[in-house]
Amino acid sequence: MVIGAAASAVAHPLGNFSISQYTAIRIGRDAIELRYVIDMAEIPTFQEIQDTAIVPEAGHVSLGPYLTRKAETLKDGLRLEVDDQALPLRTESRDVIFPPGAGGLPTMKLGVVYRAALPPGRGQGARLYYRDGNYADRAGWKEIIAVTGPGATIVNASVPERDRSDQLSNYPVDLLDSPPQDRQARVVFRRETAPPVVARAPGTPPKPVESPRAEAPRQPAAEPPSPPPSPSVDGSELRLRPNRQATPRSALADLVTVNDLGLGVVLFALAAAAALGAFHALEPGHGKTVVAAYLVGSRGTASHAVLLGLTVTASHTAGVYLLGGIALYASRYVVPERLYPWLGVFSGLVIAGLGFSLVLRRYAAQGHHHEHGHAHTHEGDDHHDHHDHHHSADHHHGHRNGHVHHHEGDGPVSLPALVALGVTGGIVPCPAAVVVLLSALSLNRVGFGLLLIVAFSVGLAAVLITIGVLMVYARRVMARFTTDGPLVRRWLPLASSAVITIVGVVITFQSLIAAGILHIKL
Amino acid sequence: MSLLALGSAGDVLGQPRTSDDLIHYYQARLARRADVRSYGRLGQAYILKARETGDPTYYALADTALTRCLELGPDPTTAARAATDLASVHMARHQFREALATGQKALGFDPGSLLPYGPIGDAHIELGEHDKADAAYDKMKTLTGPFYPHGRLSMLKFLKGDPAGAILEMRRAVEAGLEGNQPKENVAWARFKLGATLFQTGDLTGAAQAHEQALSTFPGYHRALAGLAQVRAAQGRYPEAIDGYRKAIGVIPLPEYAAALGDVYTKTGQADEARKQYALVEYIGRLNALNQVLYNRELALFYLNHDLKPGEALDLARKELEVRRDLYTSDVLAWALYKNGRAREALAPMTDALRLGTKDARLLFHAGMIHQALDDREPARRALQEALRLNPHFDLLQAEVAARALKEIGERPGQP
Repeated sequence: MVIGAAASAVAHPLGNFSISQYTAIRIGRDAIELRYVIDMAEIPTFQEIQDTAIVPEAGHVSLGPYLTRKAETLKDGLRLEVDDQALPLRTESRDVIFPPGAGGLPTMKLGVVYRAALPPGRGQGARLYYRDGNYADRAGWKEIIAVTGPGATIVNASVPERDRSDQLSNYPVDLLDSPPQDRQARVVFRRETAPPVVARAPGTPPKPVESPRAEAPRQPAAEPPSPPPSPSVDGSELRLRPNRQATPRSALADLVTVNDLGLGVVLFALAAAAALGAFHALEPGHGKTVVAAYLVGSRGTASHAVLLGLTVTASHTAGVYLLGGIALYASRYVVPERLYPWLGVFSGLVIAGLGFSLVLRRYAAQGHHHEHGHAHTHEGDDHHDHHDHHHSADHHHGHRNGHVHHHEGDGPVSLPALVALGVTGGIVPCPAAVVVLLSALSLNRVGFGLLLIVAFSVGLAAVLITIGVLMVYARRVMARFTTDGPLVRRWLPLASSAVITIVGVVITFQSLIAAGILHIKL
Repeated sequence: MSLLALGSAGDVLGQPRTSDDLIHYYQARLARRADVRSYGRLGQAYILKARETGDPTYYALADTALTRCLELGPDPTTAARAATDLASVHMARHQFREALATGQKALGFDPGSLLPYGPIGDAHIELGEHDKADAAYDKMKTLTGPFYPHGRLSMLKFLKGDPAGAILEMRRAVEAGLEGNQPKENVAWARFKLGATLFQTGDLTGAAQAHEQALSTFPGYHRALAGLAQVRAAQGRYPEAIDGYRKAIGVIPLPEYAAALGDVYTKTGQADEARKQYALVEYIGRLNALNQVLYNRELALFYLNHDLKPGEALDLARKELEVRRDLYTSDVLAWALYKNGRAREALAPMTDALRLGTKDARLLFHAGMIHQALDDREPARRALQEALRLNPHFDLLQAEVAARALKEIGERPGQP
């Protein structure tokens, strides 16, 4: 149902079903620490919720007992050996977060710190073997790193010292560096001989594996005075964070898919939507060109700028609602993406037609007084789905007839023509806004979606109006230089209407190609 | 199920290697020097990895690698090969028209090349153009060894109502894969496909054997795990079936696996467990709607077989028909219409689905039920009898429905 997601089928970095695993092996003089992170995408998270009846909310009471159990279960799948001797692991700390994934559905990131006490060292090299047997066959990012803790040095290791995923929060997938698939590691390391600070009874017979409980209280005392750890990326605690690669949708679409809608979230979402709208207005090829071209071209005032900004915004918003409605209804019969090309064909034809009629009119209107926003009409030619800029000439003419000029030259550009242009421009709104609307609909948050669009539009209008007012004053300065001469009076208006015609034709063709009607071999 | 080629990612190294080995090998080569052919080979390795894991990320990587190979202006042979592999990626993503176009492009690079006819034919099948598929595969018959299109011919023969021929061809595919030293996944895939075809003819023992061999070729192969579980369920060995499906879901939770596992739970009276699996299927369906991925038809069938959301299932079937016009999509559309109480309208797509005379119990069962709803008793009886004769275990729950319907027709007065 969501239109904008079509660009990529993969929501979670490694598919909705992936389970990623990460271990940072931190080797110290007296103990080995495993920082273990599991990142479950939407589907395994759902299965986990089904199987354990947990509630995926931060701080929910069900999570404590679950984490305790889960940490033990996961521990059973891990094997840590030093010099062929299995070391028992003890759970030090654990945590879980539920970052929203595709469509706001929860994903789960779980972290546990395990610790294993090292048998008393003899100052020489030791061999470590580690294997992660959890989720053995499940696809995902499987990363293991080995880092040096206090009082130990790594001689060599089968796994790197730095991680690529920043503890499973960032998944850079590159052609020559595909997701790591490490499920085991071998490390040779050396330990410093125990400094005298450590209260190790000298007479104690060396046990093969020292009880972790006996080791535990000594640890805090031993660690702080040790030399600072090697410059590894990670500290000693877990840092569970949502993935940097979110669902490949626009930032705006993510706003409607926030899981829990508190008042704060709503306000933040509205503010963010307004900000996005403001930025959207600054993108090339958008409605600002209409404003700019009109106000430069005609003798507009600041109030015209305000009016025009509001008009453009209103038509843009109406276009979003219209397309949202159409898409929602039509998606039962056709794939929504297929609507875009057809709307494009429609708009292209209308624009080309109006442009052509302008050419004729202006050609006929010999040498009448013209000023024109030609400089702006080209802007955004490369954005075939944004049409607002093509109205420029027509808004301007319409208004000029109405307010500024005598009824000469340009001929009657009627109000209906203006409305037609407004509709054709607005009917192909930015996909981002439509995605928000449809996401909201698919999540049964219609009202919120509509509200966000309004906020988005407010942001858009604010910027358009600001630009418009700036243009009014800029024109007053510029007008001193450029009001007269045949170039400005005749040829530029003609050229601009020709450009409008050509752009309309191009849009039509592009849309036909996108719709698969037309095939052009390149 | 896709009709991917038995590719030859392993041949350059002389022996089957794991996809990870191949990926690392070509990544290392490309890190030293960006040569065109290695990009092509890397793309192949990524395709293999995608097939092994079901992870779409690797299809995206394969796409990038193959596209880069083509951008670097390779020689005609390399270009044709890369475009052929790219067409296979399109097939795996159900972009059938793109697959066709890319396959044609491959032929443009090297008109003498025969491999592009593989994905070209595959795309034709998905688009319901069986004659064109036939012609495409025909061109490949001069190829030898693992390149001979045994697997593809098998599938076409099955569609044309020749299961015995399909089985024979699939056995040859296995042999050719073994002799040609193909990657393990490819051999395992041929064995799994053989097992699935044997199952469709009701040969449970043979099917189980084929799936077990697939699993010994490629341990943990999710398709074979599920295939074997299906056989075990049909044999009434439910604990084994449950275990098998659970393992398959452990590798990749495909909605069809969860649905089948739910059915085994239903069959054994474990309603709670069944509900969990069905909920999982629906959950995947929700994600599917968000991501627009590949399971429209499977989801539609699930909804219909469990009498859930018939309207939505019909929408899904229609949507699928936009991109895919093969027999099985017509069948699901017919089944959806039937379940929506529109048996009269279902007749046309059902006839369409059976136009090649495919001997598939599921298709015949659907046809029988539609005829029964229209009170065409004789055609209904014939179709249902044929379905149950072909494979009395064609579906754990639906086979019972078929048997019941047949009994009902038989009990009516005035019937022989």
